[in-house]
Formats: sequence, structure tokens, C-alpha cells
Amino acid sequence: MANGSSGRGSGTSKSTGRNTGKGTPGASRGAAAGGIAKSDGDTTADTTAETSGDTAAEIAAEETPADSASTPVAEPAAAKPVLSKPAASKSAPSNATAAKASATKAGASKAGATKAGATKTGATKAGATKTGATKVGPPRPAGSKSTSKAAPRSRGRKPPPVVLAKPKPWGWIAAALAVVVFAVAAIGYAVVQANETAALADPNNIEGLRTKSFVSQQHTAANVDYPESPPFGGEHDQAWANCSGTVYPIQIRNENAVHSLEHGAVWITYNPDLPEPDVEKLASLVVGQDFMLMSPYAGLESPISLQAWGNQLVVDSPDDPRIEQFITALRQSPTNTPELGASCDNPAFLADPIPEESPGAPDPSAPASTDPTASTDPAATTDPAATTAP
Amino acid sequence: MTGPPASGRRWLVVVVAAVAAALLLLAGGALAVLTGIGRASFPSEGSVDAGFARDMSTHHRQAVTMAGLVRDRSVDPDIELLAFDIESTQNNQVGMMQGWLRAWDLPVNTTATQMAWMSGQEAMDMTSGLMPGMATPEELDELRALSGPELDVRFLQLMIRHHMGGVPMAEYAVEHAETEVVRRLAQTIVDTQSAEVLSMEQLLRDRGGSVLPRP
Repeated sequence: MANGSSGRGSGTSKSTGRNTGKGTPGASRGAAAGGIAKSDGDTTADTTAETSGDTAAEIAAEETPADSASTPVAEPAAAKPVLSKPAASKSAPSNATAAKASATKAGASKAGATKAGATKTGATKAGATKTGATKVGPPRPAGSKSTSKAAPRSRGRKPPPVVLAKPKPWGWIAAALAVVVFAVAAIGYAVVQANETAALADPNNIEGLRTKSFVSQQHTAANVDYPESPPFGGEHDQAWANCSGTVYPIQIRNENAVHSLEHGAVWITYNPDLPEPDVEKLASLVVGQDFMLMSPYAGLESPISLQAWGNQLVVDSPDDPRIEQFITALRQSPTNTPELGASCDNPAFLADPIPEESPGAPDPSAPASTDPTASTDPAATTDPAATTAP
Repeated sequence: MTGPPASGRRWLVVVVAAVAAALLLLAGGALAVLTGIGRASFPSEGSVDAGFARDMSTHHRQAVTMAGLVRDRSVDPDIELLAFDIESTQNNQVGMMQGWLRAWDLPVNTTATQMAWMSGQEAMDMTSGLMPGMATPEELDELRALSGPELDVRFLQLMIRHHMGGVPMAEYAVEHAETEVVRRLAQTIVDTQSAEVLSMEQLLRDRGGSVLPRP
């Protein structure tokens, strides 16, 4: 854009002669031309620009009261001038102003005036500049901006070299900005992606997660009085509950389940009152998934509770998104599993699950009240058929 | 927006700027590649990480051998389960360690002196030519010949000693390995095998056996 505006000055001046005949823009043009002439002669871009601007402004002011409106247009054009032709670019404003002024006065369409100028310019050497003129035309509507500029110009009527800042290399600034924006976007995207991936594996992002550090992972044949219910760490039986996607219809013994947690399993427990459809939804998270086990748990404080070693999450619904979050972050977690690499297979326990016999545990003989299908064969739990077959 | 010449110039600037930007990006990327910025740095040959991964793999594999043998032949459910636990866990961990070596582009096995990565560990008794706690070929033959309660007792004795030899190796890696994944697994081995030693000692006492001297 800068380029376009720059050329205008000179172009206009030359054209002015021709234009004058037309009458409409003639007056203004002449003024503009005068301003331009000065600018052209001046080597110093800054001064020239100022001068021409002033001239134009003055002229405009004298001739057209509605000067302010037109002036603004010149501004943007002036600001944009490219490096290559500072002198020319500066003169542009005057031209634009002139054009506007004339347009306003004459009542002729602004566009027409501008175009005329442009066309004329074509004849001149500064072909490039013409474009600028044309462009300047359209931006006119921005009357508000002009006001500010107009003020300073009229102020400095006399050519007191108001030192305008050197023309900013807008093209380069824009390019640099583009590069910066691109780099920031690319890096930001990468960082966000990395964080999102990391977030999936970070249990700290699970709202309401209860954690506890367990020092002891000793084996014991005795019953353990766990402070948590259900327990999620601590001493445990030597035998782990089979946890290769196992859905137990009965409440299994805590000491065996905790050993499964030590191997990296996620243990889903649910209140025996949980409606059948909800139980099935939970089971669908377990069946066919390694390092998952599930069992009813009498006296559960909430409908559903999930356990991994040192971690517990209590939820009300099987649709709670935190369930999958918990499983993703903690199942066989390399940072959380005490015995990393251990197996979930224990055919002996699978064939004959040991029921929990602590007070509050349901009678093992009538266990699967919520899952009638499984009650027919409490042992055959890992097989999906066990939970679905009649 | 007329004036082809002017717009042509403008576009030239834009194109030049875009090309310059692209070149800058490429140069930056090339520089990053050349200097290794952003590249995960892998442990080198001779690192504690590589030495631990190799020697602990070897150490683990003997435990897998002994445990597999006993799991097949013991008739004691507790011993069978213990043997299976050791066999499956340590086999899995061997897989992790060999996976690291491959990912690091290092040989999985070398002829380098075993335990050289544990510099200055006078506690390591290599007089037998075996890593600490390892059973000798004769002891393995003996184990194969046993059966019943004798097999269980001998297995417990050998495996307790085996664990006791492996734990200091893992402890050294926890202290000196440069890679977090190595330190983490090493810590897991320290914790798990220390706990397992205690439960095996209990099993051994229950069966009237006595613990072998520390490796």
C-alpha cells in the first residue's frame, strides 16, 4: 500500500495540468500540484512530506470547510510509504488530500476524482505511484482518523519542519510479525499438544482424587485391618486376585484385591444397590481389558469407587468422565505401580475367588444380587459370557 | 486496487519476506537438528543406564529360569504362585530393559566386563565370575534334580540370595542412572525384591529351611 501512495504525488502534479481543464477537481489539484512540486524538489523526505501535507491541508481548509473529512485519507497513505521511495511517498498525502478536497467541493464523486488522478499519473514515469493514488481513494470513509492529523498540519502552516518519523518499513514489520505469529502458533501448538498428552497420564488432573502413600507392600496370610474402605494399598495376601479383565459377582477378599493393585490393576467396586444397567456399564470397562477387576462392595459410601495403588476415586455414576480418566492415568502406571511388570493371571483365584468375610460383607452364598446372570457361576468371571449369559 | 506495477512491487516484498521467513525457519530447524536441541538424549555405551539394563537383564533371566523350573515342578501352591510371580514379573522387566537398549541404539549384549558400571562397589563379590547373588551352574543342576519340599526349600534359599544380590545393583542405579525411566524401574526392583525377601524368608522358616549367607 505504501508504494502506491508514494508515487502519487509526482503523478498528480504532472497530471494536474491536464486536469485543470476539467474544472471539477481542477482547483484542488492545482493546489496539490503546488504542494507536490515542492516535495519533489526537496530531497529530504521528511520535510517534503510535511510541506506538501501542509500545503494540501491549507488549501483544503481554504477551499473546503469539509476539509477534515478528506484529510484523514491522506494519513494512512502517508504512513505506509515503502522504503524505496520515501520522497514520493510523502508527497502522496498532499495529493490525496487535494483529491478529496476537490471531490468534496465539486460534489463530484470522490472516486472519480481519484481515478482521474491515477489515470493521469499513468502518463508519468511513476507508474507505480499511480496505484497508490487509486488506493487512497477508497480509504476515504475513515473520516475520524483524519481529524487528528489535520490538526497538526494546519498548526504548522509555516513549513516548520515538523519532523515526521521516518517512514516505517511496514512491509518488513508485517513480514516479521507474520514470522513471529507463525512461530508462536507452531510452538504453542506443540506445547499444548504435549501438555494434553501428558495430562492424560497425570492423575493429578483427576478432580476429587484421593491419594495416600503406602510404604508397606509386605505379604501376609493374616486378615488386614485396612483404614480405608475399600482399601487401596498396604499389606496384602501373597495371592493376588486375578485381574485380567475380571468381573467378580461376589465381594472378593480385600487382601487379595490389594495385591492386584500392587501389580498395577484398577479395581472397580460398586455398591450392591447399583442398578443393573449401571453395573453393566461398569463391566464393559473391565471385560476384555487387562489389569482391570471389578466386584461389588457392601457398605460402599457412594455408588461407585475406583482403586489403584495409592489412589481412590469415588463417583456416583458410571458415566462420570473421571472414571476413564482414572483408568487411563493409573492402570499399570509406570510411575505408580509398585511391582511394575507383574502379571494379573492367577488361575487358582479365578477358579475359586476368596470372598470377603469382614463384617458388612454380603453373604457369599447370595452374592450377585445385582447380577443374576453371574450368580449362576460365580467362578467363571473373566469370560464376558459370564456376565451376559443367562 | 488498480495499478499492476505497484501491486507487483508490493507482492514482491511480501514474497521476499515470506521466502526469508521460510528460510529462517528452515535454518532454525536445521540448527536445532545439528545441535541436537529438542532431541532426547540417550544414555551412551558405558553409562550406568546401559550397564544396569544389560546386567540386570542377565541377573533377571536367571531368576526367570529358576522360577520357571520350580513353577513347573513344585506341588506347593504358595511356592508355585511365588515362582510364577517372579517369573512373569522379571521376564517383563527384562523386556523393558532390552527395549531401552534398542531404543538407545545400543547392543543388548556385549562382551564388556559385567558390573563395570558399578565402579567402586567393593561389596560386589565377583570371585565366582558371576554377578552377586547368582546361582552357580552346579546349584542350578542341583535344583533341577530336587523335588517336593526339598525343591521348595532350595528354591527359596537360592532366590532369597539372588534377590539380595540384585537389590544393591538396583540401588546403585537409583543413585547413578541418568534416565528417569531407569531410576524408576530400579526403585521398583529395590522395593519389590526387598519385600519379597521378607516373605520368602517367612516361607522358608515355615518349611524348616535356613537362609543362606548373604551374597
